[in-house]
Amino acid sequence: MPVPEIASWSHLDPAVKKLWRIEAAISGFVYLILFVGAGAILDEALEGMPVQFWLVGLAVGLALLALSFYVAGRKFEFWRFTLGEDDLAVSHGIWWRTRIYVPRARIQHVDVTAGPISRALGLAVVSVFVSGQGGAVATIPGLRADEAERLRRVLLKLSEQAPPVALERGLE
Amino acid sequence: MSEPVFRRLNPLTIFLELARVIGRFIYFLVFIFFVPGSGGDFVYEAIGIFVVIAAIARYLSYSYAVHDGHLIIKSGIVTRNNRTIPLSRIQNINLQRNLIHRIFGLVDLKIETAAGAQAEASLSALSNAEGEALKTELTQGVKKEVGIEETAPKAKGRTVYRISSTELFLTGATENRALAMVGAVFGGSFVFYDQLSAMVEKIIPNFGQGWVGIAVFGFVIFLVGWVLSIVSAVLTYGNFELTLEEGKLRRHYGLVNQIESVVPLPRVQVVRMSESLFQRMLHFCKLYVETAGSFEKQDMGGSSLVCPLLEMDKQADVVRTVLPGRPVDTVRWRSVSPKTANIYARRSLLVFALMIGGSSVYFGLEALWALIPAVMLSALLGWAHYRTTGYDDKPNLLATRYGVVSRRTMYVPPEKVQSVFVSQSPLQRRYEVSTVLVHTAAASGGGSASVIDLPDQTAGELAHSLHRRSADSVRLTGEVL
Repeated sequence: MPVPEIASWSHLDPAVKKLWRIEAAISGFVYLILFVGAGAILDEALEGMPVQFWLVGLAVGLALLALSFYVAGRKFEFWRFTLGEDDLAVSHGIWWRTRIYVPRARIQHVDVTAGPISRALGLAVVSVFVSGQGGAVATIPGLRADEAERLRRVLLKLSEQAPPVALERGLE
Repeated sequence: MSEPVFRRLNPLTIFLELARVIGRFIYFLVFIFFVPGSGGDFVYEAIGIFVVIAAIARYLSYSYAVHDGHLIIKSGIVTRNNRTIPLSRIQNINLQRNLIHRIFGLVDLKIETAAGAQAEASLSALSNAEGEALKTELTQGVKKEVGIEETAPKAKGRTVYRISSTELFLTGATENRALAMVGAVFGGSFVFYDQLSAMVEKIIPNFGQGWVGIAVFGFVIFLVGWVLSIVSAVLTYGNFELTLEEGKLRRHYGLVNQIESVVPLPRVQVVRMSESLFQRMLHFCKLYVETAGSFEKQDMGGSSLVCPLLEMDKQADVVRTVLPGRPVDTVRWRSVSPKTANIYARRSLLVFALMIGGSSVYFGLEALWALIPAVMLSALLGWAHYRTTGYDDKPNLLATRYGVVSRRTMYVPPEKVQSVFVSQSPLQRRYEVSTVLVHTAAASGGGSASVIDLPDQTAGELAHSLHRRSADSVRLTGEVL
C-alpha cells in the first residue's frame, strides 16, 4: 500500500518558540548559576591551577543556553501534525525523529493544559491518551488556546461517531 | 449548542483539602514544634494562612461539567488542565469514602477508562446525594456490559497445553540461575586470584590448587545452581495445564503454591514467544500472552506465561488457539535492511571499546590488543543480528522477531494496535532505515512490538498499512481494545 504523502501539515503557533525560549532561559539561568558556582568552588579548592574554573562554568552555561535557544527554533520546524479523516498524525524530533499515527476512534480522553507562561502567551498543550499507555501517546504543544480548543472538539467529536465501546463483549 | 455548565465540588471539600495540605507539611510542623527556636514568631500563622489559601484555591479551581456526552474536568491552580472524557469510554465508576468523607457525609467519585492503571478522574468530594446523582448521569452514557457471573469450574474445557515431564525438567535445566555467579567467580579470579584460590582451598580441600581449584569451584556452583533451577521449576510449574473454555484461557499450575488464572481471549493483545540460547538449540520456546487490564475485575493485565516450555513444532498450534484464525504457521520471515548488521556491529563495538578502554586503565595498554577480536566479534554479532531480525505482515497478523542470543518473537493482530510510531535515530538516518513500533492496549512493556532498521520506504508503508487496519477495524467493529 503506497503511503499517501501528507502535504498539509499543520505547524504549531510560532509563539511556542518564545515559550520554549523563556523556559530555556529560566532553567538555563539556574544551570548557569550552578556551573559558575561549581567552578568557583573548584577555584577555591585547587589553588594555583592555570584555568579559571568559574570562567569555564560560565562558558559551558552560556553554550548550553545558546544551544537550547537554537533547539527551540529547530524543534518548532520539526513539530508538525495533521488531522486526517479519522486519524491524527504527529511528527516531531530534530535528531531522533518520530512520527505517530493514532486512529481517532481509539482515543480515550484528551487533555488541554496550560501553565502560567503559556497562558500569558495565549498558548495551550493538547495531549491525546489511548488505551494501554500510562502517559499521553501524542502531544501537540504550543497551539493558540482557541486552536487547541477546536482541536479538542474535533478529536473527540469523531471519536464519538464510532458506536459505543463494548469491552470484551459478552465474555466478562 | 449550549455551553457546558460547570459545577464545583461540595464546599466541604475545603476541609478535606486542609487535612491533605496539613498532611504534606506534617514533618515540618513536627520539626518546628519539637526543635526549640526553629519556629519564628509568625511561622504557625504563616503556614496556617498558606494552607487555608491553598485549600480554597484548589476548591475554586476545580470544576466539572457533563455536556454533550462528555465529562469535562477543569483543574489546576498554576498550570490549568482541562480533561475531556467521552462518557462512552468510561469503564468503571467507584464511589469511595474514607473516614473524613464518612464524618461529613461525602463521597469520592472515581472514574476509570481503559487508558491507564490509575483513575482518570477523581471527584473528591461530593455529597452522597450529588455522588449518586452524578453516577446515574454518567452511567446513562455508558453502555452496560453484559455481565456473566464467574462461577466455580464448570464443564472441563479443551486442553490446549499440558506440560510433559521432559518439558518440566528442561524448563529448569535450560535456565541455570547460578550462571551469573559462575561468571562472577571466573571474572573475579582474574583480579582476586590469590584470595579466591585460598578461599576455594578452605571450602573444598583436595580439589586441586590454583586455576584447577577455581575451575572445580565454578563447576560445583554451576551444578548446584542447575539442580536448584530444576527443583524450583518442578515445584513452580508442576502440573501446568492450559485449557480453553467458553472463550477463556484458563491456566492452572504449581505443586506447592497452586495458581489458577483466567484470561478472556478477546483481552489478549499480543502473543510473545521467547527462546534462550539453550532452548533454541533444543528447539523449545516459552510462550506468554500480553493482556489488557480489566477495570471491572480490578485486574491490571500484563504478561502471563502460558507455556513454560513448548516444543517448537507445537508452537503454531498453541498460538493459533490463543489468536484464532491467524495464519501463524504460514509466517515467512522477511529480512530487514542488511544495513542493520552494520548498525548493530557499530553499537556492539562501541560497548566493547568502552569496556576494553576501561580495563586498559587497570591492565595496561596491552589490553588494547583485545580490540582485534572485539572487531571480529562485533562483525559476527552484526551478521547474526541481521539473520535473526525478521518480520512478516499478513492481512490479519503482524509477526516480528529479534535477538541474537535469546530470541523474542511477537504475534500482534493488527486490530489490537492502538498507535503506530515510525522513528529514526541520527545513525539510522545515515543508513536510510527506520524503526516501526506498534503499541497495543496491554499495560506491560511486552505489549509493544517493533521492526527495526527497515528501509525508509518499507517502514513508511508498513506503518501506514498497520495504522489503516487499526483505524478501519475500530470503525467497523467499534471494538477499541
